[in-house]
Amino acid sequence: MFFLLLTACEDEAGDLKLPAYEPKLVIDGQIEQGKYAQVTLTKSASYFADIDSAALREALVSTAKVSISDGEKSEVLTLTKNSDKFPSYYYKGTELVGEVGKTYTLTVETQGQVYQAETSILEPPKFDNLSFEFDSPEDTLALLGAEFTDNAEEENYYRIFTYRENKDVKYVPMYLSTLGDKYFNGETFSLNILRGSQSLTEIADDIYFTKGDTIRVKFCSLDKAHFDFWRTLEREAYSVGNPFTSSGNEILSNTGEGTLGVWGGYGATYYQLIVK
Amino acid sequence: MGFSQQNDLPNTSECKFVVTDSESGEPLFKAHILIKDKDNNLLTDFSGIASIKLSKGVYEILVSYVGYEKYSATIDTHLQSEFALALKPSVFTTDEVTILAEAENAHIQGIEAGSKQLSIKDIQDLPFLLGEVDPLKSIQYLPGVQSSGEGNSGIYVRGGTLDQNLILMDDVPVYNPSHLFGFFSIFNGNTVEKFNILKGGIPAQFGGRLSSILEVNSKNADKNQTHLKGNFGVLSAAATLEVPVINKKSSLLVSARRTYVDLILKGLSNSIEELKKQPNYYFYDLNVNYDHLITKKDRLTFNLYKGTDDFLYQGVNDFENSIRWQNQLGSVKWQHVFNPDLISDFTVYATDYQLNLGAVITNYELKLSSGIRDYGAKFTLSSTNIKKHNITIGADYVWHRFTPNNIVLGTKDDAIDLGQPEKLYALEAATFVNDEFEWNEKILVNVGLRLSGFMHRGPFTRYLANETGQTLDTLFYKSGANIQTYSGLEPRASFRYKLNDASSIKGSFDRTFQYIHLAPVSSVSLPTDIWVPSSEKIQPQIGTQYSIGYFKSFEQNAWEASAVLYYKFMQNQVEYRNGVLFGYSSGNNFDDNFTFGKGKSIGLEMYVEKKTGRFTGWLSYTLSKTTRKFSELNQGKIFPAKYDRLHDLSFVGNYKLNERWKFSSVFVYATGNRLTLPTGRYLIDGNVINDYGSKNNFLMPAYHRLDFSATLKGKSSNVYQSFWVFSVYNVYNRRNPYYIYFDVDGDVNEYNLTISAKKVSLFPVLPSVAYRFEF
Repeated sequence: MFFLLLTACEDEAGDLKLPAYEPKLVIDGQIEQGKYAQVTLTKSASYFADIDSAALREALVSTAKVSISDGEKSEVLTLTKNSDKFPSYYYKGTELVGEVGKTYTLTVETQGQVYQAETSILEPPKFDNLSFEFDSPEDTLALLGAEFTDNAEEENYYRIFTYRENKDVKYVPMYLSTLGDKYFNGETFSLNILRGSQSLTEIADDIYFTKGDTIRVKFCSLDKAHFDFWRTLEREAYSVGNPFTSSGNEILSNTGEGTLGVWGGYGATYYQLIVK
Repeated sequence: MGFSQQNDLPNTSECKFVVTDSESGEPLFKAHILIKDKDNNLLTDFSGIASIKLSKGVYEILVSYVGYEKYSATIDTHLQSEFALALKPSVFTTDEVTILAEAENAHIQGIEAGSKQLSIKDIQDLPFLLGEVDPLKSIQYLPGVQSSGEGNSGIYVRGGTLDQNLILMDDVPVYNPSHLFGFFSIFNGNTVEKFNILKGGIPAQFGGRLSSILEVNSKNADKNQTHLKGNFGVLSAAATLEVPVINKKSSLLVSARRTYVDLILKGLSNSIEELKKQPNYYFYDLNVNYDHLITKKDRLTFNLYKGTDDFLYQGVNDFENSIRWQNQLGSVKWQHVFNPDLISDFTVYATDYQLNLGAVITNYELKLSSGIRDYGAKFTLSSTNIKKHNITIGADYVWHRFTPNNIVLGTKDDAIDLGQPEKLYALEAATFVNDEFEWNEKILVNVGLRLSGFMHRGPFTRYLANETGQTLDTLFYKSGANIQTYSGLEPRASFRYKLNDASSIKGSFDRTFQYIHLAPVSSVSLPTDIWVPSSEKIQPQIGTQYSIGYFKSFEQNAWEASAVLYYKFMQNQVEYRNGVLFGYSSGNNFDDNFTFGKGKSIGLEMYVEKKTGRFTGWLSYTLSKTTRKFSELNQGKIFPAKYDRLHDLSFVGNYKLNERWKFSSVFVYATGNRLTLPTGRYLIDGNVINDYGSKNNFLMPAYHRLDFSATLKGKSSNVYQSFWVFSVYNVYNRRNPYYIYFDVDGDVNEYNLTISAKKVSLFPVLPSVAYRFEF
């Protein structure tokens, strides 16, 4: 057998026909109650194209006309510099703030094409209880437990984020951040909020919170299409590169034909607590 | 009334034919005897006897049996009524290349458009990987049958998946017929006598799989003489002993094969310290067949098989990895001849496949085991020659026990209790009736009906969970509880229309049900693939197939040619859901990870064979298209199957130079497999995400390979024969891609990333030599 395996060899797959790739518009946008809309526009690149800083600069779409409408009022978003993160520019609203119960239409006009997507801001959900659990009194790491009561009248979809003061630069989605009420409709449901990694492709190796830290928890409700996007994206991100997974996980986008990404509304409730 | 009793007329007589092997004297069971002019086709019983009432006269008869030379003779029933017909095995050892005046024309006469029978003698001189004679690989050279990958013994038949082939070793199902991660099959060239594939027009006595039935029959030992056969190759050595136990009444065959790479390494490792760290691997096969003629009318056959693959790697720092899988089969078959026209077969069997994976890292231990066990029984009653009807009726019953992935975690000192290992139970039963009859001289018809049923039984626990796998509710079923029942009505029909003596048209319709499933994550068959039963969530697979073909022979049947068109539609096909991790269940139930859809395959199979002369061989070509449609995959759009193969061509040629030398060659060409690879990348919330485009969007480069072998007959006498087989696999060193992966260089966070596609090829040009002898 080793004789056989020794005979195996690697080559450049020069004769592999790589399908031509047509870059698509990538929409990464959100709107939350009480906040302005934020939309980042980029272009996807061929899997085989090299990534360097020039390629990333090129990926940014900064000449689009981006507007939102709540059915009555509308506004054109302005290109805004964002120095902390990449891409360094995004489109931001200045007039319309998100309101619970409204549906927002996003319109992107770029290079003669018009793309539209829709999302809603649903009633923000509430926890019944949030508490830390330590294995033993001398332990410094705690698991965050949560409990909430689902609304029996409707299908509900949730997403949870956490933020550690002075440690995180943004709200980080918990490990497997999406929840649907398919199996707990109308019931009081308890779960553990496992702290996620900064990047989805990093392994979530530390799911605990440290004693003494100040933690904020963001509990959101989402509509079905918005939920499906994050659910399938996380599924792909966690399994990518693993040779034992079924490959080609589809990500269900809600931004329409010819685009990738998401336009998502959040109805969010924030909690702050100290780990003790 | 008396008029109809022809047999009372003085000018008829009961004629008896006894067909035997000319060398061993062993009677040949189910040999065909064709009485020309009368167009009567007889089959011998296991005493080699067939009889018929013939009016006095002179007849030409033609006797044929797979693996033997055809025998034609002229008989005169005025002179005698009993005829001894001794057939010569058609081996390379025959002194002359026999060119028959007229070869058998079953190709034209027979009804089977979708079947092909081969004898081990047809293939034992072909070139094989490392010289291991492998019947499953030679099946891949037939039209409509595709190999599942480089060196792999898995087959795809007419667009069907790997699990849609019922592989029977002496009527007992084999669930994983592979050794060495699929590179060799468990069928040892030394014990196999003949094998037969049915891919369309499947008689009703066969069922349980959608796409094909592959019957592999072991040799029954000679009841008159002791024989010893053996062979040594680069990879393994094998020996087969045939012993008569009670002369002319019973015989025993014992055959064993074992690889010896590990033994050589062990011998070396005493002197070379480094080799101790080498992984240790071997496989073996053991076949024991006992055949006993109790009375002239009763025959008992016992078959046992055991084969194991054992891999152990002991690395540094107490790292240990082991993989072990094994098949165990046992059966008892009782055949009873009421009269030569009425024969019953009763078989009881057990078959078991087990896989154990283990890993130890310092103090931690992981064990994973899976498997399937069946206890089954099958009864058939076949009656021939009732007004030209050949009727078979019978029933099948199987009890299944499945052990899907069971994982045990622990330290060396104490195991973590993960509860009882999950076992799943199911029953499968069927009853069938099949009738083959001659409508008129031109039309032969086969109609059959199979009624099959399935039951998933307790004990079973079903967990209801949410999308992220949190359990919300649990349902318990107690032992023997009926959880889910399915049944299916499977009509089968085929016909042959004879245009003239040298050409015919054949057609068939098959409806097949399959109640147990395998959904391999990767495109090659691996020992880790797991069988699962139908359940509340997994419905039985249903296949519907139509085929029509034109068959022709040339130059007194020296050449055969055919073109067959098929269309197959498959329902309730099983695939893994997106994002399922192999070996880890993302849900709590065994059936949580599957998604279901439809499959379709259409193809044209062309075949030309030269049967006689110095040069023999065949060329087969299949043009096909296989697609699938799953609502949860590829946005519900149609996508090509992984093994959608537009072109699939095989050439097998044998040339006999002289008494001592024979040359063989195999050439295969096939469109590459398909796979899903990312085509693009994009950024969402600071994460780099892959864009896959459509499912199975990549076409691997075509697979082609030329093999060559030369067989030299060594010193031989009447009692001893020996052969050297020199072979070269992949003569022109084609780098066929085994898999494709992406080499990622750099770091996205440093804005520097380069990706290139790489392919891994397995076998370069590989010469080998094998030595074979027979006493």
